[in-house]
This record gives sequence, C-alpha cells and structure tokens, in this order.
Amino acid sequence: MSGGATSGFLTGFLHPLGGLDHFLAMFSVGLWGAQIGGRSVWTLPVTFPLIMVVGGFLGIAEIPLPGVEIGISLSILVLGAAIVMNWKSSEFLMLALVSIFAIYHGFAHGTELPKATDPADYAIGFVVATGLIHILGIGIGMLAQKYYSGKLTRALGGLVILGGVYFLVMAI
Amino acid sequence: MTNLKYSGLAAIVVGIIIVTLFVLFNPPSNNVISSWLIWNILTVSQILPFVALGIVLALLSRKIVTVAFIAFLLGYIIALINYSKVWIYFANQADISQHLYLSLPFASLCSGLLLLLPNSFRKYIVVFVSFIIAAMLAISVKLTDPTLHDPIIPTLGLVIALWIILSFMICVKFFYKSWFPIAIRIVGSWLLASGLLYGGTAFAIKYGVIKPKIEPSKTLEKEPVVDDELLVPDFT
Repeated sequence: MSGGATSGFLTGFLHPLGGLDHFLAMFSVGLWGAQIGGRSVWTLPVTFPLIMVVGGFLGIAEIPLPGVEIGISLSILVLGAAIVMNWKSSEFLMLALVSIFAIYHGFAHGTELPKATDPADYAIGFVVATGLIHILGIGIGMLAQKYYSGKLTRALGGLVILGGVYFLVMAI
Repeated sequence: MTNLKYSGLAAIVVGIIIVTLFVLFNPPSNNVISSWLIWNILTVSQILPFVALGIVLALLSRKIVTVAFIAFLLGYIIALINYSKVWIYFANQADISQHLYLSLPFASLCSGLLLLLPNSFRKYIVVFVSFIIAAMLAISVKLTDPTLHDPIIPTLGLVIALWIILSFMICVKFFYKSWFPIAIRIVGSWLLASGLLYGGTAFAIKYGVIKPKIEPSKTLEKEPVVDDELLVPDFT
C-alpha cells in the first residue's frame, strides 16, 4: 500500500461528513429505521451502503446518471417526510425507496473514488463514515422514541425536510 | 473466567505499546521492517477483515473456532508457497500495487459477507473465509516484503493477524451486548460495500497502453534523392 494510506482513509472518511446533503440523507435513514423498529433498524442502514456500491460503479465507470443533485435533494425531502408522517409500509417498498436514493449518493461518491490517492482506504473511509452517520441516526432515533415518545423524531424529520427544500432549490 | 474478561483489551493495549515502541526506536525512514509495518500491515484495509473474523469467531463454538484457526494457518502457508500463481492470474489488473493483486478487496468481501449472514449460516462458511483471509494476507505480505527473503516478514504478518483476531475474539466474548447483532451486520455491510467498491474500481480503471507516436520523418520526406555522383568526394 502506498504511503498515502492514512490520508486516503481520512479523505474518504471526511467526504460524507463534509457535505450536509449526504449527511442529512444518511442520518435520516438511521432515524427512520429506528422509528419503524423491528428488523428495519438494521435492514435500512445495511441496504444503503450495499446499493450505494451500484451508484459508485456508475460513477467510477463514468456512466451518466441524470439529475444527481435533484435526486439527492429529493432523497432528503422524501426521507424527512416519511419520518414526519411516521410512514410504515411493506419492507420491500421501504428498501426499494432507500435503494433508489442510495444509487444517487453512491454515484456522487463514486466519481471521486478513482481520483483518490489510495482507493482502498478511501472506499473504507467513506463507507465507515456513512455507517457511523446511520448509527448516529439509529441512536438518536432510539433514544427519542424511548424518552420523547416519537415527538422528537418527528421534529427532527421536519428539520430534515427544511434541509431537503433548501438543497432542492439550490439544485434547480 | 472473570480473570480472562479484560485479557482481550489488555492484549490490544500491550500490542499497541509494543508496535509503538518498536516504531519509535526503529524509525520507518531508517528501518524497512518498521516502514513495512506502518504502511503495509497496520492499515485500515488490512486490519478490518481480521477484526471481523475475530468478532464472528467469538460467537461460534470452540470446535468451529479450532477448525477455523487450522484453516487460517493452512491458508497462510499454502498461499505463501503458491502466491506466484495468483500474481500471474491478476497480472493485467490496474493498480496492483494498491490493491495488492485484489487481496485486500477479496478479504474485505469475505469478511463482510461473514458478518452479514445470520449466525446459523456463519458456522458453515467461517472455515472457508478464514482460509481465504489468511491466503490474501500471505499474498499481500509476499508482495510488500521489503527484504524479499527474510522469514521474519511472513512470521510478523501472521503474528499480527493472530493478535488482532484473538484480541477482538476475547473482547466480544466477554463484552457481548444485546445490540451487537445489529452493529455486526452494519459493520458487515461496510466491509462488503468497501470491498465491492474497491475491487470494482480496480476492474473499472483501464489504463491505455502508451504507444510511441510514429510519424514519417519530415527531413527524410523533404530530402531530395541523392545522386550517387554527389557522394564522390570532390578533391579538386
């Protein structure tokens, strides 16, 4: 491995943390999973990085994906709305929704990957950061469900919607 | 058993102290082994599969753990002997010095899959995954060995891998919490995703072969046909 191992991991790790749009979407996935409860606590956050890989491949291979910025903004908006409305549907539908959003987020990360000095540690760095944001969402969601009977979770969902609207306006 | 409770944590701390002291007394700029340890073995992409294996082994029975460790040693030895076959097979891949003949993505993929699967399935594949992870380690150790022949390098690689696996195995065994299955699956998805992405990058990046630009020489084109008579030196 090259001498840039540490910098590769750090660059990848800071990538999802640096952009508020990515942060909000991933945080919402964790929060939504915790709000739904049961298997969804882990199925949603596990599905997200795995499907993100598909988007990552598209980005790496430079296959054009239309409306990436709009797609990312919509993901924040829809996830925020799902949390506010405490929306629970079939697991398949929820996973499909999260998967579509993950492709857009993965695409944005994937375009950066081949340019990284150390792609191995870059990939691990940004996947780990993504997972940690999910865990933060799950943790806050579980605590909010336990001590504030879900009101705080919905309020956080409202804030996510505001973020989604902002990013959508910026994208358009 | 209570005496063993903190042995995993102690093993991690003692190991870190030993490595730190070794690197401090043998700066990587002057010592090839120290440099190899820092840049090739103690990297995130190399360590994570061992951590994953340690976590899974903590959840399985002693019999399976023993067989998995035997498979690990076998995988390491077999790959140390036959590493050149893998090198030849993946020779045309881009960035082999980065992903070390795809050994890092393969180890990441296998360990991620191991964490994602339910415990009832893990016992069936853990032996195979142990073998693969060890083989991938051996391939990367052979490739990055700065001495080319010193047996201390493969020995150190094996010792460090076993240290990480055992330390995490003991830690998880004694500090198991009810939320671990969720966390383990999430970490598994990280490893699987990073392995897929990283391996995918290696396949996706294609370097074009640089060919020399051959153009007809302009001087030759413009040069008039030389008459044989002109070649005769004029002595007058």
